[in-house]
Amino acid sequence: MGFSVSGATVVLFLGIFISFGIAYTTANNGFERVNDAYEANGEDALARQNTAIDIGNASLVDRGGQRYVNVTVNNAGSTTLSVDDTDILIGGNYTNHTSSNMETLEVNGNNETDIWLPGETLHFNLSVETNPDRVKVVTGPGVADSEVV
Amino acid sequence: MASVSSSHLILFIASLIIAASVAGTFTQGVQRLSSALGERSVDVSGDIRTDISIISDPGSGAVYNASGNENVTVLVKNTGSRSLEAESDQIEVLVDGRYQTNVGITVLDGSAWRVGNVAKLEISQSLDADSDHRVVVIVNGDKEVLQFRT
Repeated sequence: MGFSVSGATVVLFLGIFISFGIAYTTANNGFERVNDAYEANGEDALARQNTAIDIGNASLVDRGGQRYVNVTVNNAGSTTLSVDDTDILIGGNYTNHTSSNMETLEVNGNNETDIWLPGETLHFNLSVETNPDRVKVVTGPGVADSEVV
Repeated sequence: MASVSSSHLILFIASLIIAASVAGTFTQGVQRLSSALGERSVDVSGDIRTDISIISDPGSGAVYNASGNENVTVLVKNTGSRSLEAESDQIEVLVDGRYQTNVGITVLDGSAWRVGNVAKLEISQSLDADSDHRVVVIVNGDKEVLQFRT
């Protein structure tokens, strides 16, 4: 009788140990995955809090019969922004950076860079057919500023 | 004497079989639970990483095209930390509380809706003039509201 009890106990405990191992590994992996996502979310929220932009000037210029929208935006926050991730809405319509209407798009006079550092000014100039009423600039983290032209 | 040891042997084997089946069932249950937990954690982390922002300018009058096709155009930016699928079965759109099935989705600045990219949602829905409206966009449980006037 003694052997039966000990044998059965060993088998049962082995099963419990294996189950615990499986459950622990999965729970740990899942917890880490969710925790990483929360951390990324927190970092994004911090970046958003530290981001601020300010449209300094939005004006309509007439040069040789062609109308241009001239906008300067100042990075007033403390995060480095990406020019590629910055979106420009002229009169509520999305304007692509590679659009043929985009005459200039530069940060502090440099049109090659993608980095828009704090304190630097983004300047863009694009030709328009009709007079737009408003300009909106949206940064990568989602912080936006709009201005009446 | 022989009958005693053989009955012991039978009891021993029986107890081992019962213990093994109990342990097997238990392990199988825990395994099933673990795989469900793993899949759920993938879903939950994806939902947490999803973040969208409606960047349309409601003050510009470009949201609703009253004179043309009578459609609502909403610009949605991916501001989270994962790529999203720009498919109409992944994006839920409600206009004035009504679920929209006729939604055209195009990514404006790239081939896929990656982080930082903007998707344009075109909703074929004619709206009353001079009235207030709201559009709700839901992606992976992240809900954004846009209010505008026609």
